[in-house]
Amino acid sequence: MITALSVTDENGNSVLSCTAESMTMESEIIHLEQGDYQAQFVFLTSQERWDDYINQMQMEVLSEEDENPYEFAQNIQDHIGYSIKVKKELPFSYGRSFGVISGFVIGLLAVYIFCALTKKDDKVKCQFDERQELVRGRGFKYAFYTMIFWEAFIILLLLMEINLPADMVLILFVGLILGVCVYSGYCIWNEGYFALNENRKSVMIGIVIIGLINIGIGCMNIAEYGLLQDGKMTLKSLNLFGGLMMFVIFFVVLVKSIRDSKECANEESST
Amino acid sequence: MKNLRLKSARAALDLSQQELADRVGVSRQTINSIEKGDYNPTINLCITICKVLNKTLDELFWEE
Repeated sequence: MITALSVTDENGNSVLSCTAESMTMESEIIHLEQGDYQAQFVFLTSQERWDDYINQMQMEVLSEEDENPYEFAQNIQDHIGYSIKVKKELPFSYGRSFGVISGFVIGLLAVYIFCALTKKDDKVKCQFDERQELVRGRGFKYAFYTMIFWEAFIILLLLMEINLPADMVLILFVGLILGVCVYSGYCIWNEGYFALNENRKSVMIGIVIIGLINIGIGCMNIAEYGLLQDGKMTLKSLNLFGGLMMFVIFFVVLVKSIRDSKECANEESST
Repeated sequence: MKNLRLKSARAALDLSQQELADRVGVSRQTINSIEKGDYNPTINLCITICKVLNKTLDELFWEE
């Protein structure tokens, strides 16, 4: 039996027609222009059906096989049809690629400036004592487990063919955000988050500002595009999740500071 | 196990946990964890603490 795939546009013109074998061998991405298309998987189970298909699609048979692939199943034919709607053409854009790369570089530069501004000394690098390094190591471990479980959970849902309510890129980013939350939360609670040469107040102000900016951008995106597009959350919701992460970190620092101030008062009174 | 000898040696010099931490070059929480027995410091940190408090390793960290 031979499986063939054909894609036709709204005028019935063939856009693509090939067999599954050639599709596997010549795996390539097809760029479709805006419009409606019909995709059809055809199961060709007889020589006649194969000949009809070749004629209909105006395909050229490049080689003839000696063995007859149709002998084992005669007069059985079936097909599966799909409708494809291409809403918007997304050609490769140098401008977009440049924007993504420059945004990444600017982000790195901003992190460097933030690190430099929040230090008590002239150094940019954070200094931690041995216990803090240990805590941070454990934090990394728990964050790693969190991300592994998240990825495994998503893979499980995909294997069960459950339709996820968000784009895959956003889902992957949420995994990263969860990992960062676990790492930050654990380190803050065990006093391994802030470096010895770091000004806590500056860091906290920075976290609040970054959180507010992200939530602001997230709200603007929702107001402009809506929370869901085609029933799914898109990458435009990422800022909202990023802002939420910043406020989770802020909240944990706040609770820890209150707890510490009480502990410090008790320690002073006992000595 | 709580390290009460470290705590008393620190109190004898009238140092707070934060002051001792600053002199040793660690966080206050690290000193607190050592005093509470939640963290076992490395030998290097033990030596630094001993030097700041003018004590020997035996006096502060040897378990009788």
